Formats: sequence, structure tokens, C-alpha cells
Amino acid sequence: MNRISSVVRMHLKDRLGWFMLPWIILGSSFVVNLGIAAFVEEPITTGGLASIYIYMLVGGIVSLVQTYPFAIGFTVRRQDYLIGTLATMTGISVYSAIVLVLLGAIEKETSWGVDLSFFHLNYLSDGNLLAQWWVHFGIMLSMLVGGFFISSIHRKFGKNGMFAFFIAVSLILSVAIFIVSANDGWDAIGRWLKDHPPTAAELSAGMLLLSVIFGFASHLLLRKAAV
Amino acid sequence: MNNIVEITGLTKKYRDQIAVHNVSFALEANKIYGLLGRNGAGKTTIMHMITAQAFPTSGELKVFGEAPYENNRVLSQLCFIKESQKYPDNYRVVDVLDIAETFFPNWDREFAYALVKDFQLPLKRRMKRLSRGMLSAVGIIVGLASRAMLTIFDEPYLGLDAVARSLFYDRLLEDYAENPRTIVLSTHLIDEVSKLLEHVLVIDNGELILNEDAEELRGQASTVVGAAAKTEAFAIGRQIIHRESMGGLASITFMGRLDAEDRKQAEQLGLEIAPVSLQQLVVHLSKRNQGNKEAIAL
Amino acid sequence: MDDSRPIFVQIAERIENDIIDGAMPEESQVPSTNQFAAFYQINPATAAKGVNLLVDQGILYKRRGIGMFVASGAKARLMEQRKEHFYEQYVVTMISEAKKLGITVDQLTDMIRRGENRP
Repeated sequence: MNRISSVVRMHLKDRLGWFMLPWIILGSSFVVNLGIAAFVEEPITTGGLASIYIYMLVGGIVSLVQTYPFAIGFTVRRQDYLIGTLATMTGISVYSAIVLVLLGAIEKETSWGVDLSFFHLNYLSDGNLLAQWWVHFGIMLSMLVGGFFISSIHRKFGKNGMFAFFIAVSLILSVAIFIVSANDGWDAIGRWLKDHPPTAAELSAGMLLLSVIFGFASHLLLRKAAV
Repeated sequence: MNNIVEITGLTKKYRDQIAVHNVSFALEANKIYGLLGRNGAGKTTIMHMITAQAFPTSGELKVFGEAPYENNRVLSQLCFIKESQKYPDNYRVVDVLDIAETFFPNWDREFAYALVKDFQLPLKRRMKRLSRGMLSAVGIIVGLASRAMLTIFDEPYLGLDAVARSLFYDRLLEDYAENPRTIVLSTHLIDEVSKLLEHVLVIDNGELILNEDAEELRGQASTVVGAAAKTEAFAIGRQIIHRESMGGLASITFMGRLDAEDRKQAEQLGLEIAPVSLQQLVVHLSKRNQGNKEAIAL
Repeated sequence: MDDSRPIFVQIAERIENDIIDGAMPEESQVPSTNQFAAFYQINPATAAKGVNLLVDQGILYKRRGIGMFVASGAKARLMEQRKEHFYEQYVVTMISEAKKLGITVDQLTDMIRRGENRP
């Protein structure tokens, strides 16, 4: 059997983790918000949707920890493992995004009878169904691959390496912010954003580009990582 | 290609220690090897390098004539069962077996499930809820059912009682006889497996200190026990590897077979001759190697 | 299993013992090497070595496609071997010891008769 499809199967065996828990968590957030909306007069918009994205971020982090020693321990190639994992994450993002778009469409028509905006949100759900799917897909895949990338750093460089990475990122961000402030750049940025407001779809494309970079970076990190 | 594994000058250095130092050996096809030595001697590191799960600092390593790294021709015929193997948290026993079937091309499903019955494993139980013994049993089942041309077991029986271990040896021998392949057993329970082994490799402090046919090894060392002075006299000129004393008695272990003359002489001196088990031999040689290293360091 | 001698030698000896005391009659089939290996929990190659030792000595022979059999005359041949071994190990030693103690051959023979008559 093709090793890559074996890796995909390996991930999907964990039905609880990929197919049940994310929806249970999202579902409970939804139910709570539904309850609140029923009691409140005005229409409410809530950010409970974020729960599934956070779950996927954590899922990405955890997937490496759980499956890398297992797969490599069972003599799977690192290359096959990476491709299989990225393929699995893509598939999960595809199907999850479809479900979210469908739920958003239902919400758009019914507001669930209590004027709740949970799945169909301004800005995020702008555009047609395909655009909406693209946004959900982009965010979800970025969370998954981003989490996986963070885990790869930990795998290769250990706890200290991970801290070093985050410190480095903070430093770079701080320096960047300082430079912008020093040059009174915030106005320019604000104006540019007003003239070229990025759509959610464009942001999503940007995140996907980031995912590709993360994926490649994970490959470099795992190439010579011990088990 | 005659040798399944060919290792030349293998070295693994970490920042503060040398885990494996200039180790060279070859493994032939269809033999059962014992890779023995104390904990931390370097055996596990070597096995990790053979399976491309760790990387040598220097030296050459060939499996089935090729480098194993990212090489499916090699990796798909390797099975490495380690005692520290991690399984995904939500996996049940049956999930591990299903996935193992997809990873190992020679997998025998019927055999695997027969073994599950033998070891009385609860198929639907989550891996993280298994006792240490059951966890080991899963590893053993995967190792045996994989029928990989090179199967390595690293301390595979943590937590297994004597009955289960005996079952493992039985199944191993049975399947090995019908499906010959190269098997490496790494363990500190040396005496138990000594009858199974065809060839013995002993690693101590990262070095290969013994590489011998198992049958040749038997009887290559002897222990003589008796009055201290007489025992010492008997041991003069022999290659001593261990000494023990208690009051006026001494026990000396040395390399070398005892012939009829020797036996007579020992009898006349009132000394008892005791055989040296493989385990004792490995322990003594390891200690001696340790002693030599300390002497050199001083 | 004796730690000081190769296992294959010990396997051969056990088979020899079984032949001598009649447990394995001549022309009867002997268990396969895999069966020996399984029974004693030893490596099949080692079991095979032991069996082959006896094949080389003409004690066992192989019937192609069927298995290993005890050769006719094996028991007699083994008894001869054992008697010769007995001579080397016990008789020769006894005589040299006797010489050291100044015991003559006649005295030795008397001693043997005396020993035989012990209850």
C-alpha cells in the first residue's frame, strides 16, 4: 500500500480527534450562545466560531507529538509522513469548511430563530459561497499547519529552541513596530488599508501562502530530527 | 549481497559524551542475533541508527546494501520494536494492528490475531489504558506479525511475566523456523534468550567488546571456587575476568576451556569447577571493560 | 541445559540417549529440527547442527521429503561408542590411579568382583 495513503489513514483512525471533538466543542459553544440569544431581545453576534479554529491549532500541534514517534518508529519515511500529514490536514480543512459554509447558509436564512450570528459573520462571510468556503478553508489549514510547524520546532530544537523561536518572533515584531512608529508609519498604513481594504478572501490567500512556507519549514526541521 | 547489515566505524557523539565509538560489525541473513550489554551501553543508539531514526556522527552504515535514510526499499523491510514506543493517545489495540498492516508489506493478519488470542489482549481497549505488560505484548505481536526481513526487538518484554515471555520465545522460534529472517534481540535478560541466539554481540560503553558465535562462546570461560590460596595458584597464567572472595574462599572466573588435565588438577586441589553462563560472561567482560577504561583515564 | 558445552552437542547426546534406551527405535522417525527447537526452546540452526552431527556419524539418516530416521545398527554403534568412552574415562583412569597406589592388576580384578557383589 502506498505509504502516503497509509499515513493519511493513520491520522484519520483518530476519528474522535478529527471528526467528533472539533464539532462537539464548536457545538457546545453554539448551544450556549443559542441559549443566550433566546433570552436576549437584540440580535447578537458572537465569536464562538473561533473555538473550532483554536481546536485546529492545538490539533496541529498535538498531531506531530502523537503521530511522529509512532510513524517514524514504525519505519515510515519522514517525507511520506510530512506529505501524508499535510494531505490529511488539507482534506480536513476542505470538509470542515464545507460544513461551516452550509451552517452559515442556514443561519443566513433563519438566524436560528433567535437572531444569532454565529456562523455567518460580517466580513468573514462576505462574498459568495465559494469565497466563504475559501476563507474558512484558509484559516483552518493555516491553524493546522501552523500548529504542526510549532511542534516541529519543538521536535528539532526542544523546549529551549521553541522559546528561542518565540522570543525571536517577539523581538522582530517589536523592532518592526518600533521602526514603524519612529517613522510615523501608522498613518501611512492606515491610509493604505482604507484605500485597499483586504477582503477576507485575500487574507485567507495570504494565510495559505504562510501555510506553504510553514509546511516547507517543517520539512526542513524534520528532515534530520531524531525520534 | 550477503550481509543484511554492514556497519563500519560507526560513531555517535553527543555534546557531552560518546554514545557509540567506532563500532564495526555485520549481520547475516536469517540468523537470530543477541545484541547485549548494560543499560546505556549504546545498543539502543545503534539500533536507532540502523533504522534511520538517529544519525551517525561518522562511519558507514548499510542495510540490505543501501543507506536506510528515507529509503523505502530498506525501511519497508525493517521493523523496530522498542520498549519506549509511543502510540497515539486515542488509538485502541485494534487500531494499532490495522495501521501496522498498512505499514508492513509482509504483514500476516491471521498470525497477528492468533497472537492477540495467545496474549489475551483486549482489542478494543485504548493503548494508554494498557498495563505495561500488555503494551509490551502489542509490540511483540507487531514485531512478529510484520515478518520484516530485519526485525529488531529492544527489551521487548518489560512487564511481561515469565509465562508470557516463554510464549514469546515459543512463537518467535516457531515463526522463525517457518519464515526465516534476521532477528536481533536486545535484552538484559541474557540467560533466558541465550538458547535462542546464534550469534552474540556485546556492547559496553559504546564499544563492541564481543562478537562471537553463541555455541562457540559456551564453555569459553570457567569459574573455579575453593580455598583462596589454592584457587589463586590454579588461576596463575590465565586470563582472569572476575574475582570474588568471602572469608577464606575465593571464586575466580577466567577465559579458557578446561581440559581433562585441568579438571584433574582442580579436583586434586579440592577446587570446584562451575560453568559460566552467558549472562555472567557478559557482566564480567563489561565490568572489566569498565575497569580498563578507568585505569586508562587515571 | 549445561552452560559449559555447546547446545548442539547436548542435543545430540539426548537423541543418543533416547536411541540407546529404546525410546527411539531403529528405523523409526525422529522429530524434525523445528520440533526439537520448539521443544527445547533453542535456535533451529542449533538443533539442526546437533542432528547433523548424528547424521555425519551415521546414527541418523534422511529420507528425502519425509524426515530424519534412526539408522539400523545405530543402537549397537552407540553402545560401542559409549563403551569405548567408558574405557577411556573410567578404566584408563582407574588403572593409572591403581598404579600410583601400587595396586596390581590381579588385586584390581578382585576389587571389581568385590564391588559387583555388594548388595
